[in-house]
Amino acid sequence: MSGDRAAARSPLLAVRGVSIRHHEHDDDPAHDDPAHDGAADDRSRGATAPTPCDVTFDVGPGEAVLLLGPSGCGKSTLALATNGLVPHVVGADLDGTVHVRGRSTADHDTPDLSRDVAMVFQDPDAQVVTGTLLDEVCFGPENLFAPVDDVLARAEDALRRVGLWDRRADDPVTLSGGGRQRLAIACALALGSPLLVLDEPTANLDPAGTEEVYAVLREVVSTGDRAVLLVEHDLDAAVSLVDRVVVLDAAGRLVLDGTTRDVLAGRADLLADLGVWLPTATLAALRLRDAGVGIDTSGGLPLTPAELAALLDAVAVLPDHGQPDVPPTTRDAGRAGGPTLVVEHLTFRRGRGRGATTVLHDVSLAVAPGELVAVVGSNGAGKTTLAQLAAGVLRAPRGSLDGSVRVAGLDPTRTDPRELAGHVGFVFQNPEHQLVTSRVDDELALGLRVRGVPDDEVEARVEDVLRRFGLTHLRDRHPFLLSGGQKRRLSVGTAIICRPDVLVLDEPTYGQDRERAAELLDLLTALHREGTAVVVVSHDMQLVAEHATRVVALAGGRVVADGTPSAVLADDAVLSACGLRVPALARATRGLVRHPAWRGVTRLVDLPVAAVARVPA
Amino acid sequence: MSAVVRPGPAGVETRPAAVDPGPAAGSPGDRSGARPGTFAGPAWDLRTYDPLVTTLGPLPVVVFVFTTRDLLTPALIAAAALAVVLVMVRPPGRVLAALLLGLPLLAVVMTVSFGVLTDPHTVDGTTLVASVGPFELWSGALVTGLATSLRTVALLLLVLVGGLSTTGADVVRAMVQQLRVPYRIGYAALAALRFVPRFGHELEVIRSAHRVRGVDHGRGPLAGLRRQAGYAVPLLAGGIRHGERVSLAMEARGFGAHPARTERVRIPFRARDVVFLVATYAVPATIVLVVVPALARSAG
Amino acid sequence: MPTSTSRTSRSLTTRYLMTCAAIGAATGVLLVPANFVSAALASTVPVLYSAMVGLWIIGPVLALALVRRPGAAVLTMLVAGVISSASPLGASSILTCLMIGAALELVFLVTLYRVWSPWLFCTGTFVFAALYTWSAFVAFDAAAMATVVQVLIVVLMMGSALAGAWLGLLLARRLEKAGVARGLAPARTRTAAPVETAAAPSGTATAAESA
Repeated sequence: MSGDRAAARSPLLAVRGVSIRHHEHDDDPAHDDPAHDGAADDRSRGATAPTPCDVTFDVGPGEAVLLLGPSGCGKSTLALATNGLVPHVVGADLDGTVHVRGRSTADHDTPDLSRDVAMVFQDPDAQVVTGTLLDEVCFGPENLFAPVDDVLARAEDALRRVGLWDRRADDPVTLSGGGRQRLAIACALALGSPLLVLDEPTANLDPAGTEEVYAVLREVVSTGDRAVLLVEHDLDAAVSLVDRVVVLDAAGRLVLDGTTRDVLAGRADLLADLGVWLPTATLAALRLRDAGVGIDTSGGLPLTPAELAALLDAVAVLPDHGQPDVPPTTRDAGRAGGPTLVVEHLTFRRGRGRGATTVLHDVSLAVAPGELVAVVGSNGAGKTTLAQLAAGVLRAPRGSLDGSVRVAGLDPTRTDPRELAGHVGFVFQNPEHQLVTSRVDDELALGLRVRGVPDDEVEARVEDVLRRFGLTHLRDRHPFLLSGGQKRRLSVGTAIICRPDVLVLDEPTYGQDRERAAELLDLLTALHREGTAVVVVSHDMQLVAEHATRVVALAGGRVVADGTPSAVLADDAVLSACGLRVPALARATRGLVRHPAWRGVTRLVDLPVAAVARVPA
Repeated sequence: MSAVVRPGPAGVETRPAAVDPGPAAGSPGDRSGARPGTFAGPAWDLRTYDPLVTTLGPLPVVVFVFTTRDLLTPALIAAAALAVVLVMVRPPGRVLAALLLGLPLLAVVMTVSFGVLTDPHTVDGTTLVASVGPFELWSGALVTGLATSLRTVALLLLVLVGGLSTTGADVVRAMVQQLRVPYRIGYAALAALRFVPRFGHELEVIRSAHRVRGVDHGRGPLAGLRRQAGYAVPLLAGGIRHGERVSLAMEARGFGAHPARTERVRIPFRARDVVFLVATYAVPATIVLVVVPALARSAG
Repeated sequence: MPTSTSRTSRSLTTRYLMTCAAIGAATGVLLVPANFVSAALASTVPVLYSAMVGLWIIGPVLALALVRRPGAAVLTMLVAGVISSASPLGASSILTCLMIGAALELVFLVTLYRVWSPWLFCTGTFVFAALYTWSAFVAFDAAAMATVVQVLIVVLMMGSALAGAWLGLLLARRLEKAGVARGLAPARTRTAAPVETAAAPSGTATAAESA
């Protein structure tokens, strides 16, 4: 360790004037992730502007820094540049310099830099290399050629820090998503490097998993032996963790670099203009201030639900909030025609004999045209099974199913798929699974062609969907070459082009960042307002709260709640039974002392509104 | 577990008692998880031997058995291999049953089927045993068939000596440690074991997704092939991209930082391996050079 | 402490290794049941067994055609062998697979990994199929079989091997169109590449279509 004296004087991570331009047509693996959609979008448009662009910042020892920016600003790319994956492995041109502990990433490759920078990626599955937790954690130190004693000592320490030491002999696949991500953090810790870079570590996790990961990260940060650079869109979770925030704008230029409170609370207006997501409490306070509610923001905007609650309680009188029990759509109009999806006393068993498990217990549910129903619950609650049975994706073996499912009067588990496609569309979690042709327009036309729709009508409907989903300029592309967000839109397009009565989506926001997710939910909102019954399986609570007209909560294969978002999400018993987090705004309002009428407010749309309408057309 | 286990080879050795991977796992996923790991144990247990000795060692014998045409040599070699499997591998009941019931059945079926295929002209002068439609079974052909079947059984048993006593993962580790195969190649192969359950799950989802889309390739074997090819593209595309993402994670964890890496479990090459290797060649040699001629003489 | 060394083996990048590993894993998954079926067929209907040979060809041909780097077939088949060691043959399937990979790659080695046109894939497949047919003849003692059976075995093995190669090329072309493994194959980009390498992708396409 001879270079340490020089390193001690320089910052741990020094990013100087970094611009990164991806190689054209270089389909780098890191950016297949839907969350990195924006960068891919830029490239598919043929944009040549580099993102990030001329970025300079430092990370000091023990510091926790959040890297923030709108979709496509290149924050993930920048994260990958800290250990040389960009440009050594992921093809790109990098201008400027990145130094880690005084070593330039240009002169050292990624494996070599791993002793200085450890990285945790978004997809927990794509970070498992070996067959047991212990082997997994030992993998890094072994690569660094540490002595056996040292490898085992580091592995034990790392596994204990993330609370997985007792499971060291287990296969990583037996862990939950959150558990596997904790394992990835342990692997990073075991490398012994002073800088830990995390690229969207919770994007693929359910709320319980996100909690687990943040609990571990809080411990890491509070111990102070590691600096942390975090790319994250879940600001409600991240805000309590970081000391500093670095913000890039849409063009990838650095606009702000300061303490968390200075940046997020002090410059909230600027951030909102940049299209950067803010903590829910901050957003709510901005909204209230603009609506003329007399909250006192002289001490800065709130960052956490608790701070927002304190601000609200400091106000003597709050105006009437929007009525949370009446969703933004007129449900009664939709109900007039009777429900199109009816599930009655559905019980479903998987497997047979002694190994059989009952996945759904006596589930009943009715969805009417014009509704947007969110099915929520933790992993393993049976939500996907329910959705798949409703859409005819899962063909139940004889004897495994009691009760009935009816879509527009048809039994989806028995009806011919082509006939069914006109009544119910299903969108898979991973859009690539359901893309079967080699052109975008063929992909859209396929469902119509197999159902014998005349050619000119096929053409007209394809044009319509292309235009509506912003895919016209991509019509002759191979669907796999689209960005994550475009693929998602295409998969929704293939489902709705047959004009189904019911559209079912399985975790449509999984792995997407906030902006893409919100964009998709807006699309769905437009659809259900036109009269399609939309069923969304999701664990994204705030989005559910904002967009759904009704929430059905599942736990252990049973329906534990079915009602308006504000009613279900305000019910602690239900949320804890489902392993779900209370949405941030609900956490702020439920504890209000002076304003009991506001305790049921769970959604931003329920807050008093200024003259400017928020919901996009 | 009270005291922290002293690191070092002994520290690892204490684990499997608690882990108990279970012998002879059925699926590839299980196999990767099952990790004998320590190679410590009684000398009768073939699982404690060098995986290369048990898998590659018998290969010259395999090649030799290929070339035999008589009945006695493959039969005796098969018996010797079976003895090794029974005594030194001691497979679990299910595998044992499959071996002891399946192999004789295999021999009988093969004898008949190869007998039918044998050119009748080569066995002129023997008797017609049976005829079904156009197929005729001659006693001479039956002998040829029996030879082929015994040969196949012998080959199978020779291969099972290694197959039942070690896992693909341990063979790879041994290749890295003893054959100087670059560890990056070996560990890429080990990491690929993790892909298998993922492929299974993905295939299931892709199948149902294609069905929901109403994709129809028609009926018949050609359509079936087209359907499989239709699944193959998204499956492989997803798999390859997953592999690429894993490669990023591996590099970020120092994979390839040095020409060598720490091996926590060293696969030993001990006296028992030498003895086994010598016996692997000595026993068949004795059978061929001594036993078979002696038996032939006494029979003749 | 030694400094960075992976530079020395830059051509053997982790991304390349893991791409082959993924193709190999898929091949291995295909070969596990194939091993069971072929073990059953070899003992009962060796004629049909010979028609299965093509299954072993798809993976290595696909890897070579997609990645176009030395060692792709051998690597892919090493992985396939490790995966498919969960079948009757156990760990020795590694060796079988390695031999197949090496046999296929032989012709590319001879042409110094500069030619990637379909005819070379066919030649490679043919070389492998000839070797394999010979070994199968020895194993089954096919010389003692009726002439019709012998001819049938040879025809089926060759036909099946070529069909496997065709399928491998077809999949490689489809994956290439889907943007998979882009940037891995050295000669793929429009550089001042020799004529035959630049022409290879389109040649591949036409061969796969017309076959």
